Formats: sequence, C-alpha cells, structure tokens
Amino acid sequence: MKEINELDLPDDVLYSEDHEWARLEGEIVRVGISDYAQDRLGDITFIEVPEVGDNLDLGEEFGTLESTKAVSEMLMPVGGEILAVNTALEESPDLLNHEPYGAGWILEVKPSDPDELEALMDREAYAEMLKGMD
Amino acid sequence: MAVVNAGMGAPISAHLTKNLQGRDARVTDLTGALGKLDLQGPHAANVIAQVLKSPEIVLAKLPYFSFKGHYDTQSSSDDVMLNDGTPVLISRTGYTGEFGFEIFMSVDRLVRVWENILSAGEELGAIACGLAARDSLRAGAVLPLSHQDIGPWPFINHPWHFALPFDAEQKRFTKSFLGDIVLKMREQAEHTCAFVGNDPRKVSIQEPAVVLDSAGSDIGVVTTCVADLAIGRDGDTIYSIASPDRPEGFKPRGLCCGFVRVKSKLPMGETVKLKDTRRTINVRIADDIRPHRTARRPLKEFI
Repeated sequence: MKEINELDLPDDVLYSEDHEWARLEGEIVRVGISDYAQDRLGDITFIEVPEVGDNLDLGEEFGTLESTKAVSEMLMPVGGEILAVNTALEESPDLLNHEPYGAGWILEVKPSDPDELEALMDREAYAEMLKGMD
Repeated sequence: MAVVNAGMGAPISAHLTKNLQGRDARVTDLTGALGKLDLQGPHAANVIAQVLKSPEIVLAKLPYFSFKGHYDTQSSSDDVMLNDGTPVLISRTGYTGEFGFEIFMSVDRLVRVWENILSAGEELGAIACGLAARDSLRAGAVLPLSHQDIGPWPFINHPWHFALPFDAEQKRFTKSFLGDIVLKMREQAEHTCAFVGNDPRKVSIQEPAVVLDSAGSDIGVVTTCVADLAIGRDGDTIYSIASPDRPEGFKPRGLCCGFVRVKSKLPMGETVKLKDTRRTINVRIADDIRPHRTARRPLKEFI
C-alpha cells in the first residue's frame, strides 16, 4: 500500500469523506474514486454502476466495487441525474487502479444542487483527513 | 507427516495421540519447530533449482505428491539441501492446484530461505503472495478448507457408486450390507458442494450468505466465496490462462467460486442463488472449476 505522501491527489477535483472525487466540468460533474481508495481496495475486478437517467441523492449508494480483497459501496458525492457511465470499466475495471482520475472515471452527473459541491474537500483537506486515518 | 491448517497443530496432535490405543507409534507436534513455505507456479522448478545444492538429483523422479529430504539436520541427506547447507524436505505438493513445491525446514532457517528464494526468483517474477491469492487459487482448484468448508459432513461424494447395490435411481440400496446404515445417513446429511458463478462478484461469508434453491427456499450457507481471476467464461465454457484451447485474445475477467454447505446433496450443474445483505448472485454447483491445472503435470515440462 502507498504511504500518504505517495498518493496521487490532483488539485482539480474535490474529495468526499468516502473517497470519491468530483470534478466540475461545465454544468456536469464527473465522479470517480481516489487514488487512496483504489490503493486500499487492491486489484479491482468488477464494478456495478447505476443506469443512465437514474436520479440519486447526495450520499446515496450508486454502485459497488469488487476487488480481490473486498466489496465496497460507492456513495454519491453530489446528488443529481446520471448522464453517463463509463462503459469501458465493464471490460477493463483495472482502469480504476491505473488511471483513477482519467480513463477510470465512473459517472457523469447533472447536479440537482451544485451547492452540494461546497461540502467536499480540496486536496489539502483530504490529505489531512487521510493522515488522521492511517 | 500431516500438514494441517494453521492453528490446528495442537488439536490434531491431541486427537491422534488419543487414538494411538497401544499402537507402536509416536505423535509429535512440530508446530513450533518446523517452518514451511510454498513455491508455486510454472517457474517454481527453475527457481528452486537455483537455491538447491544438487538440483539435478533432487528434481529427478519427483512426481506429484512425492517428497525427498528431511528438515532435521541429523536425518538429512547431503543431496537434499540448499546452497547454504540448510537441510530441507521438498514435496511436490501445494494448496493451489498448480505446479510447485512445499519446502519444509527448521523454523530458525525460514526467513533466510524465504529471502534466498525470493532473490533467486526475482528475474523469473517470483513474488510474495498473501492469503487471498492462495484462497482464490485453492477454491478454483476445488480444494476445500478444513473446519470451514469440510467437517463432520460429506464433501461432494464418496467414490463407491460403481460398486454399491444402488437401485436404478441411485437413491436406495437393493440389499443390506455392512455399513449401509452409515451411507444412508450420509446421503441425508449436510453436504459440501463446490460452485462457480458467472462473473467475479462475490457474497460475504461473514454475514453469512445463504443458499437459495429455485423456489427461494433457504437450503444452506456459503462457506467460501472468492474470485478466481485466472478463469473466465466464453459462453458456457470456462477457460483458464493455462487452457491450450482458450479463445484467441482470451482475457479472463475472473469468476466467483467457492463452497456451500447445503442440507442435502445437489446435482452437478444445478443453479442456486447466493444471497447476502448486499446482493444475490446465481451460481452453478460444479465438480470442477479451473480447467487445465498444472499440479499433476510432469516436472520435466517446467524445466
């Protein structure tokens, strides 16, 4: 497992306490899991995601990640309508391990309340939270 | 030598001692004195050859489930030791279903042997594997875990169907014989069966997950559920990364597999549901899971 100072924590995304990230791109929010999450889960083998068009609330479970070590739920970092899911993950779930902020993105959401993003953490705050966990 | 699951040395030693009943035998629990490491995989012979003093002697005529050497300095053979003089017992066995060795030595030599083997195998890709990797391999190889998957109830089948006086439906005996009562009881008892799923999704055995039949009735519990990542489906056929007939470009996604303990014997191929608090998955009862395993293949194919 990576040390906290070895984690890739880009500053163009916001982080949730449950280790999802959210990146505002125009009027939509792209969602994935953090480098910390993928590192702790280990090799990810399967992902379950919602249907395009589903409406989910902030904090609601939107899918599960299956890894060689565990099964983990993913929670919405912002509520809204699912506009797209990354279908490449069906065949290549390892993208979540190798490119968690790029090709391993999971969802695109049209937020019902963009102000919910303000409750998420920036890079520094998230790194500080992680230091308190390990 | 009986190699038992971690933590079971004392209870099994006590059980054997209790049942000596005057026989000319002695039971010694070696738990604290004996170290063991497993070297498994297609390069196992080439790696172990680098640390053996006389690899050409040790690796000659060493078929599956045979062994050579001794872990005790006083009983050891000059032929079966490592380059550094460590006496070892080398066994063509393992708990993965794949080609490899179990290596036994005095526990005070274990760390040094571990480091030497990892170093010698670095160029061939030798890596340390954790319990989860071992667990997925042994489940795919249909190897149950003692006191988890198997216990005082039947595992799949006894091997005597061809010889016993079954009726046409193979359910009752047509005449009495010594031991028929026990076998009848076994047929009605709980059974352990292996299963394989359709993708890597697992259920938790901690909750525990239950087994449901086609009518939705609770018929048992899940005792092992892991994902064997070396296998995948192409239609109804399961291939492994070692399958010579695997489809071109085959990239396994992994399949969930393991064992269930059910109230009565289930036919091979029967579909059941495994349900935990998170999900319900369909799996099939199977008599084999990961095809083309390498454990029994001749050693000469791997050198």
